[in-house]
Amino acid sequence: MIHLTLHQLSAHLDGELAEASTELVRRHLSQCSECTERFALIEAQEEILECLLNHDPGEAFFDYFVDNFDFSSRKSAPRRWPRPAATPIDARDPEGEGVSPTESAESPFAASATPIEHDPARLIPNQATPVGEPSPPPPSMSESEPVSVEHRNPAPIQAPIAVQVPAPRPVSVAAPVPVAPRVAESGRPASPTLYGRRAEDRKPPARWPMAAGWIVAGIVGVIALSVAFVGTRQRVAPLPIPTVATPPPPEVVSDAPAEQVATVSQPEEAIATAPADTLVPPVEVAAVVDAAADPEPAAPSAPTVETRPKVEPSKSVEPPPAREPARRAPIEPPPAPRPPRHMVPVRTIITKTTTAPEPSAPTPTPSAPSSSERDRLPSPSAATVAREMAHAKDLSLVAARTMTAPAFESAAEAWETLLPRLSESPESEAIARREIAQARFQAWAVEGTPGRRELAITAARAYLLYAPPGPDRDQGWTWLGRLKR
Amino acid sequence: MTRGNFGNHWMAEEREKRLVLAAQQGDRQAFLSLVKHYQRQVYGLAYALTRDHDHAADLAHDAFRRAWAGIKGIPEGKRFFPWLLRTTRNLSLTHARRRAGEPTSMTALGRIPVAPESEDADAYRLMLETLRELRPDEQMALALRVVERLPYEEIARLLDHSAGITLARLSSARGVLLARAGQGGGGSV
Repeated sequence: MIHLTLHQLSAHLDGELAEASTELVRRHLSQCSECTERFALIEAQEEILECLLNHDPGEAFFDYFVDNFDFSSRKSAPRRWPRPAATPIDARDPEGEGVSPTESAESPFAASATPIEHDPARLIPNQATPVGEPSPPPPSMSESEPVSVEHRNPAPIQAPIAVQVPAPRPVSVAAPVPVAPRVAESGRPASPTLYGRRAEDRKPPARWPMAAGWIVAGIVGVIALSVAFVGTRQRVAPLPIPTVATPPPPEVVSDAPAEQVATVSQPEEAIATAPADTLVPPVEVAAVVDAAADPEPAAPSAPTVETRPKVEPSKSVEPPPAREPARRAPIEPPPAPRPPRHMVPVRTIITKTTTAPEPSAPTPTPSAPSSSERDRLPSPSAATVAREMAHAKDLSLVAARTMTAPAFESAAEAWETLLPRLSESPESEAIARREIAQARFQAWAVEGTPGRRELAITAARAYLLYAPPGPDRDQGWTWLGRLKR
Repeated sequence: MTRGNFGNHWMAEEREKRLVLAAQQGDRQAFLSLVKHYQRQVYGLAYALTRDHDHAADLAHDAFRRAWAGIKGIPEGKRFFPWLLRTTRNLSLTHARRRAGEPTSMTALGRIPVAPESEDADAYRLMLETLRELRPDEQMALALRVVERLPYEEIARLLDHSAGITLARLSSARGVLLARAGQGGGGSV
């Protein structure tokens, strides 16, 4: 059975579907327990949201707001706003105009709902304050707001408590769990209610661990820049390479600077300490040799084997694989860790890629197989298809979250790639085509171009060929209608 | 519970034009008339975006101050109210970024219809945490739909986009909330 999408459930919940579609959705919900359960969850969620997002501060607040409006453009300090009187939710609506979740028979909390007692100690302090009086600082007040503890607690505060240093925490953006002096320690009695339990969550965040994190990040950045700069200098600096490259008698090398002589006289250390850009792996050597043998050689200034390496292996070091075999034989994959690609002179890379294609190695390419290749492929296992479907669904979800045209297009392409593998399962194919049509349509809706419109129309038409009668099919027609309009 | 501040949210167009014109010429009283008319809506939206009275009041105040500073830049033929709402949305984004490292304000839990210590309150708490993960556009769509009960077309008109985008944002937000509630809501969006 094809389930209702979240779009359909949302639109049905909000009463935004057409009559025919509403009837179809109702019929589906009467038959599908999964969708019914999902719909009930959304409804319950709506009640919670309505309670959390709605707030009436009272007329006094709005009078104050207008009377004390600040026209100045400069940034002012956080102001003290009058707060509404504490009115528990069950006492706020005596006429029963609003719908409280506790009053609703469908409320998930109907059985266990407990009205809030009219006990100011159980209410949040800033709401228990009558309008017009100076309000106490809220527990979630940031550090910039002075907390006048003495106001609430006549006992003098002990200095060690006031200057208690919070424990360091790991520098992490995703874990904003500050550890700060407890409010209870600073004079406010710890409450056994929600306040007491959640007091740690409302501590002002510790600043200095964040500052330390920034300092560490700065130091690391400076070091990285320095390393990069030194590497650049070493690459750019002219090297007395020819004298080093040829198997030299010591006298020849003696023309080089002192440190070069030392390097050659201690080749093992030199290789161990040589910058990565001076070490040429065998594959690069062979490529360059092949490039040199090409009838259209590179420019005369192109680096050659003899002029490039700064340090050649001498008799005490294992030489790289012999050059002669490397010139003829297929290139083996490099045995040793290669220096990063960007450390090889650019000209060498260009030469290699243009004139010396690697003859061996049927390396698998990530591109999608052609249709003929696809026919020859063994049919993928169900697990593979399921995994790919999950991946495509993830992309669809990401696209729905980001609401960008490229994301929708990526999702559509993922589903299209998957489509040939679903030919044996009409139901899965219908799902895939619906996702493609939806993603193409959304891409066009977010950022409409003629090309996207054409793709979306094609996808919608293809989907309508597979869509079963019902709301999904209606949705396809809706997309098509909007696209043509 | 009072539901919605958008019942008569649109000021008569002629009157609004007149007030905006006067405000553009420096008439503070005219601007205060606009403030008086739209403050409930802006505060309601700011509260839905911040879930904290103090932050919402600051946000609404900043939105009006910014509107006063930039009222001369209202595009010709555009209404003041949607422009003001978008200003509020942008400020809420700045606000959310500034307070990203701070713990979630739980003051809204003081008004929930269940005992704060009960397990049911955890659903509210989790919802408050999850709401911070939503994008401001999604939060605005939720606020205008869930709190104000505005139809899609009206939300689209206020936010200056299409009804389809309203549906997409609402669905996306609800999917995230469902998924975070552990009920799975993603996959088939």
